Amino acid sequence: MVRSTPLPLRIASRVFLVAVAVFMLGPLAVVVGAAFTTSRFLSFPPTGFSLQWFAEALSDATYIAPFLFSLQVAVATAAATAVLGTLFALGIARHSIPGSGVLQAIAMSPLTMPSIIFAIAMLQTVSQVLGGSASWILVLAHVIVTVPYVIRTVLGVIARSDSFTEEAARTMGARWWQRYWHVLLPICRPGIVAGAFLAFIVSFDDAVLALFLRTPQFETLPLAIYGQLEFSASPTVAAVSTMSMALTAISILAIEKIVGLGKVFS
Amino acid sequence: MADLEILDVRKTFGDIEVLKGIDVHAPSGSFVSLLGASGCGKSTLLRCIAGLEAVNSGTISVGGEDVTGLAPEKRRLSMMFQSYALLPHMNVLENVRFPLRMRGKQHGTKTAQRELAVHALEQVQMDHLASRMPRQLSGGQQQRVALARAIVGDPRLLLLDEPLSNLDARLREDMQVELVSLQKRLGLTTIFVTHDQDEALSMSDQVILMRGGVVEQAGTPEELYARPATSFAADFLGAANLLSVTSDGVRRARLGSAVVPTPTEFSGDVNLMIRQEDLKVNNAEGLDSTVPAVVTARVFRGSELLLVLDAAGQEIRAVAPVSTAAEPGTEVTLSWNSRQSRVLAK
Amino acid sequence: MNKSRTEPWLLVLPVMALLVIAFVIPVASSLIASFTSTGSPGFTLANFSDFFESSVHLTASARTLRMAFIQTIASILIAVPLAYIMSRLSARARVVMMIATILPLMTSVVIRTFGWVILMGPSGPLARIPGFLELSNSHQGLLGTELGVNIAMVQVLVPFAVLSVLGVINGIDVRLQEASRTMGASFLRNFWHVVLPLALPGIVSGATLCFALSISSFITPNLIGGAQLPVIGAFIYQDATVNGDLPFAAAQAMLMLMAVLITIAATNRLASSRMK
Repeated sequence: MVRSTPLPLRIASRVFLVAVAVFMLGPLAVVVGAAFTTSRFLSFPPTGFSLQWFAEALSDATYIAPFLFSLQVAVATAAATAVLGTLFALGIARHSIPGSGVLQAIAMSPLTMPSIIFAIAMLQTVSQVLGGSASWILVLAHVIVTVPYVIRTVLGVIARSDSFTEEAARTMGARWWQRYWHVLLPICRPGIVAGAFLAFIVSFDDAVLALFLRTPQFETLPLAIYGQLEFSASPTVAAVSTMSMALTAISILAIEKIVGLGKVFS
Repeated sequence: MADLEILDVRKTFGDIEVLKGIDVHAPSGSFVSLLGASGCGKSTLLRCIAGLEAVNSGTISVGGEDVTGLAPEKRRLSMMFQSYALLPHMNVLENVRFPLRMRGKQHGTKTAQRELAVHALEQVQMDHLASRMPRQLSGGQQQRVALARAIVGDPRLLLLDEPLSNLDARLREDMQVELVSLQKRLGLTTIFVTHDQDEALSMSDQVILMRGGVVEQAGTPEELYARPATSFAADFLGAANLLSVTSDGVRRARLGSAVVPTPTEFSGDVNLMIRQEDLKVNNAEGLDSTVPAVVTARVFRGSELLLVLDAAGQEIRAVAPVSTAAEPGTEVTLSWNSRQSRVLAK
Repeated sequence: MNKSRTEPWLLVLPVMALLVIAFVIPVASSLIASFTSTGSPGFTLANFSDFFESSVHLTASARTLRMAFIQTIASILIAVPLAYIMSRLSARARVVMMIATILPLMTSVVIRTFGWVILMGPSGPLARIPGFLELSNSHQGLLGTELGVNIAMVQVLVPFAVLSVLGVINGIDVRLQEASRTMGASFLRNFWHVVLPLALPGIVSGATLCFALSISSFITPNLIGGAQLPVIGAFIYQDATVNGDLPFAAAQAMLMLMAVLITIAATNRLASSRMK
């Protein structure tokens, strides 16, 4: 790599990086900061330091039920997506199916579809066919929008692996189910896990599909926060948001450890 | 171990016929090389033997059993891949134990399988790295593990697909010697695919030279080197001069203004093959053929000289002692024994 | 041998079936629904004529498109140099910047917007910057202004743009850049003549993605812009859930989809003509 970048440009690019990082992370930091305030009103920088709003959030039914519901939806989505996406990636990568490029493009298309359009389409169909939404409908919608992530991460792992391992396993006497169990799935595992984490985050944080497909009985955590924001934002909401962000951050670090962020996101 | 018998095997990919009726016999315990340039069908033939490609017609038998229609996992052969194809999630020992595990009961308990795997690793001096993961090994070490995995559990046939091509020159020579001595020690019938004629000549009991989906010539390395059947074989197997000559009477050929005797009778235009090392410069003692030539280039090779010469407008290469006075432009005589030359159709 | 021909189809079948049932059919059926009306049976263009006759909807459409345009340009202007600098960082610094990009991307849009609400409010930290209140709506800070929505949306969009540009820039052969540098191109000329043209496909796809995401967003515009600055997404949401007029919501969604598709087609054509 050429290192002979002129000094003024080097300084300018450092300043630029810091400015962008502040711009990108600032709003998140503000929410975290506001959660530790001692005042009853939202303020930043926080006045004093207290954990009372976390305690409040953890004992408030307004957030506990939505949190548990979001968790269930996200776990169900991640599990279903991991299985389906892995099967699809294996089918595309290991065999020369005619038109596999087209199949892959179709499977990735939910990524480019604006989610509000998919949301209205889902709501419209569901209310026509079933008369209304249900929590499994939300999981189904989340599976559709997250399956591309798993396909991408698993295909990435397969592309970087030795393409002869399966044939080698055949010559060593492995039957088809042994090849899946002992060779293909272990090789794909980092991609499957990273994809499942991504699916979990996307599902857990989704607000658009959840807004359209919500049912009176169940509310997701982002909707609970959204409702509070429209009504009146309090330090408790900041505390809930902070905990939700912590979950996201842990998942991202897990993905970075397992396969590396650069490989998943480009 | 068992012998391999291939009869009239044909294979097409789409409209392209890659194997056009191949016959091969590899006796039990022999080391047979499939030699040829890329695209000659040698790798496809190996994959057909392994069962990874289905043949269109013909039969493949191992130890007298027809395996033509069998899936690769049921053939009880072993194959070593160019990329080694080690399983990245298993350590060295588990990789080597894998074929025993897959074939199940016949290789006994887990402990017994481990002992066999350790024994195979000992054969390639890798037993001390048994608990490493493949990614922690160098290329040469990975290759030894792949070899151990291929010889474990007495396979009927050992198939090697250009296994040495990823190694650097030095390591490669060591492995050639080691591979042959291992093969002889274990008595494994081995089919070895390579594009490197030196490798084929130095390692094999038998060389099968392939070209365009057919067997060009098969025989021992000595036979192929000394008596190539065609100009292609002569050219492919080591440094041969192919001189274009015309008939000039009985067992005589005209090369420019010179007339030289030939070992066999022929008519019309042919190639006269003379190996580089059979040519003598300015020394006709005891030799019956001589032509004048001019040195065009001189390459110092340490123990000898490689001379590029021009004889009647044709390029000839000869190996000469370092002491030979042969600066470019020097006029010399080239001599050889006609019995060491061969008449080959063009 | 026959098994190997059906096996791959069995593997891709579940996803394909699911996509047809829960993606293709719903989108197609909402396209059909947009030509129906709750009032009268049969095929009708009423939804579309209602839309184009409503000045509220037309104003909101213009606002949505205008803001999407500004936000896309701003996001690309930040993302291209950012991606270029990131591609030249040490591995460690790159991971840090990668997290700075992806953490916001993966954080719920509701929470991110919440942060901006705190920042932009009349008593928020930004209000302490001299001149801030004069620049903004003095009673609400930046809340309720298009500038506020644009700033918050750019923060939402930049990660998408960075990732699409980074994907292409990482694919550019480093030796090509070194070659251009050894041939005497300065740092900036190298960026302008080598990196930028080669990164153009990534820039185009990033811009298209930003535009699509921007015109379909409604949560951030709602929380920051409020009821005074409605966008089309907000109308779709209202008509679908509050007013219960699904066909009208579907018709607006289809118009939005049309806008996205036209943008994709136009930018692709522009990019391919530039690359010739």
